Amino acid sequence: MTRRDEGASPETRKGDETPRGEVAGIRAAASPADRAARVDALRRARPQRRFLRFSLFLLGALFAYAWASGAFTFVDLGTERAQRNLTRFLEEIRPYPLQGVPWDFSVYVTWFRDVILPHTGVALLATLALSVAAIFVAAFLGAALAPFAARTLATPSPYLSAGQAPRAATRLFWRGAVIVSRALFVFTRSVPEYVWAFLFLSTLGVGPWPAVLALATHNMGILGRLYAESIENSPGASSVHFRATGASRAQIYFASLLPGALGRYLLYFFYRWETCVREATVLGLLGFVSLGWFIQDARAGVRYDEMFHFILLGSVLIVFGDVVSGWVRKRIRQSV
Amino acid sequence: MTWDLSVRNASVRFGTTVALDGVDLAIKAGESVALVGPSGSGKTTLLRLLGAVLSPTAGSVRIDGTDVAQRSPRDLRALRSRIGTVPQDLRLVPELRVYQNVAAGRVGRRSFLGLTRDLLFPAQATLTEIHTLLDRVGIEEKLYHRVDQLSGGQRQRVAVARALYQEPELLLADEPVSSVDPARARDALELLCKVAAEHHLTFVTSLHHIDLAREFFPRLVGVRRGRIEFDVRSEDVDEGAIERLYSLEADELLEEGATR
Amino acid sequence: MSAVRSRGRTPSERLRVVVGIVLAAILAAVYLGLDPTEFFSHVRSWKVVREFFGAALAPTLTSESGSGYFLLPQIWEGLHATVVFAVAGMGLALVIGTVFGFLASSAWWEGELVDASSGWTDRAVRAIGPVVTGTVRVIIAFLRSIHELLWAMLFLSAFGISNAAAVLAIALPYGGVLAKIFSEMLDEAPRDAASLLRAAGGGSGTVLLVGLMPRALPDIATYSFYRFECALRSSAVLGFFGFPTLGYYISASFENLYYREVWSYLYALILLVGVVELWSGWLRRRQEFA
Repeated sequence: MTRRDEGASPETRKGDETPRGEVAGIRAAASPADRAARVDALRRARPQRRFLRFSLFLLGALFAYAWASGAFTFVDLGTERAQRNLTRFLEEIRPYPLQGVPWDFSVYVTWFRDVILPHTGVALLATLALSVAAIFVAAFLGAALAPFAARTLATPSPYLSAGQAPRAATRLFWRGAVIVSRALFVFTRSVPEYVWAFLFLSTLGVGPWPAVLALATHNMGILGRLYAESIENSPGASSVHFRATGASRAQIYFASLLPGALGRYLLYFFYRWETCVREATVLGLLGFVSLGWFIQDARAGVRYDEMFHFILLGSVLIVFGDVVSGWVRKRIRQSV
Repeated sequence: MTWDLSVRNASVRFGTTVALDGVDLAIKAGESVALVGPSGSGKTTLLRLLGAVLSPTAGSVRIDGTDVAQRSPRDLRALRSRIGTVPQDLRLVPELRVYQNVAAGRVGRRSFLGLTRDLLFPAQATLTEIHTLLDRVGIEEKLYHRVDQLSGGQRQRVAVARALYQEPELLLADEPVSSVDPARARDALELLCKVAAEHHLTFVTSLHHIDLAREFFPRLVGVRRGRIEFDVRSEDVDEGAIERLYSLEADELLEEGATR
Repeated sequence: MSAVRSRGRTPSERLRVVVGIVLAAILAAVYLGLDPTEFFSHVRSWKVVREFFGAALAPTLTSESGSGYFLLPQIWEGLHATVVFAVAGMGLALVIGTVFGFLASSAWWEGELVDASSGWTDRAVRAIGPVVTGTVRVIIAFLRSIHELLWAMLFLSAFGISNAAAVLAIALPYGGVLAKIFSEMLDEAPRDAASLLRAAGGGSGTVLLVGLMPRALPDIATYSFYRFECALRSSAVLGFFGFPTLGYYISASFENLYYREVWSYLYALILLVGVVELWSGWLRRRQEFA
């Protein structure tokens, strides 16, 4: 990679004012051919970002391939059968008593009160509670494991290399701790929430614990990594000071690093909570009684009017979560 | 061909703050003028009037013989596209390469597609033209460098080249020495005066530093508290006038924040 | 947590948030009946649990079914479909995100970039700008607020079975998210260069192109790449709805109780996401975007 070669080097930064033309060799009076050649030479020697170019090219090629592969086609959506389906679907998402008759708002209200409203409280509360419990567990585990994954802290002698060289076993232990905790984070976050939920609910049985654990597992991987990065990016001065006074690793974490990084911890917490609300709505599709369960139930019974309304309800819940999270994050950011 | 400027009894108010108060100033085509005075005196506001980006609350500004207020929007844009500005903070796009930043100078006369082409696939003619300008400001070898990898002095040269690429009739510079380190202040002014002379431009700059202003500019305009304090040839500036110009009063200290 | 009280710059605010979180978590746990003593009371069969998690250590490359065929072709097909749907959906999402993100930002009508004194086009832009932005923001919020699985469900119910539904199911919510983030990044990009170019006679379109877009682009690229990782996971999950991505193979193998196969597919997914994560991390660390 040749980018930033000259510009970033300290000599050129120091040497500030470049010589005027004399050294550069070409003056304004140079012949057009000379100048064109010089421009060409500069272009060939320009700092390039080959890896970025390659990545963009690869993504472009992937995109072209995806559309050309024939794995899907939008023609499907235009066929006569699909259009008939669509017309029927649009009719069926109208509340049942209003299908085939002119719109009447009072009928709609009655229907909503009788059919949707009785389930609303349970559906929304269960979904919300699931998301809150899950993100709490995820953040707790993530924060507990992050110190072992932060390369600045998980070393034999963090922030201060004094005294005799650490024993080989100690070195090995901390190196292992970093590798294992990071691998755990990668492992848990690479598998989506929904897949964890599917596996947990099928093996452990349907209940609140498997649902919470499924959401928490994935988010622990994400939060753990983000938390570890916040620790690594914490300014080290106060930790060095603590270390010099003989503080243990745990004392450094709780007294120096955690207070400093708490703002970031909380920002990430709420950022992930938003996605937890989203995911909690759909975990119900797997049998746990949250919003998704009512959606799935309505779909199985081909009651598209109910399904549609529960989906809209979920959308309201998610917007609510976004607004709350955005508000809290703004306050945290101001206080950090 | 270059433009003459005239400001007649112009005042500028921001809310209750008076930034300029009945200023009269005439600048001949091809003339070089330094506006001097303490910070907050109204130099920058006066420059913005001359750059046709600010209209006076009262009075008039004539650029190239026509009142700015009388010009149609299209005409005004055409006018602005020929006014090259080197602002104090340079206002480059650090993520872009040098030639792209210079090419942006002609934003007022290029179509959307034309400008896109200049940025991504510049024509050979465009590149050689830009290279010529970079050569003139002394950083021709930086043609393809990203601006965020250049030093402060080099960046200022890019800003000068961008202004020149506009093919300006009028060149304005706001405190050009404040964005480079003191040792390079002389170089910066030398460069600006050189290009202004070579291109026969009308050149107006604001300058806090009175000694440099006397050294490089034939004519000094002292601005204080929104008024013109003196307007003389630099060899005629007397120490008393300068002392009066920079003597601070308590209320000016208070005003400073508001007028800047 | 006592350290927070003594050292944080505004401890009371953050402490209040932490206390709020703990209280909310307790309420949630009570509501859900999360009793620690009943942690495993729902478990129907410990044998299944043992078998399933034991299989994690023994993934297989030959099928556990009677015929015992080679599994790699199926893994490959699952990976292939996962990538194809993610890439296609993400491509559409980028289009949606760019167009809506631009419209939802105030950069094209607010502030110094549009000079109300200069011409009827700019005045018109200034007048309709807030209306367009407000409307588009509502649309974006709607797109985002429905989970990709639910979009898929809606499309399947509306059109019948079609793989295009999977692409749309990714494209719409992801397009909404991208649009929101893009607009925020455009709004937060420094406008100094833009206002100078405006003073040099530039129109709002050209000024946006050269003065504002380049400043927001590195962040936009970084974020888009991160969303691409997410799209891969979403694409895999869509398999649970019958699309031929990894989720389909996972659920099929699980239902046949071929747990070792399930883990093979899971590891393939982890590998895929891991590679893309490395790729984007590499770009980010070398600041190729910046």
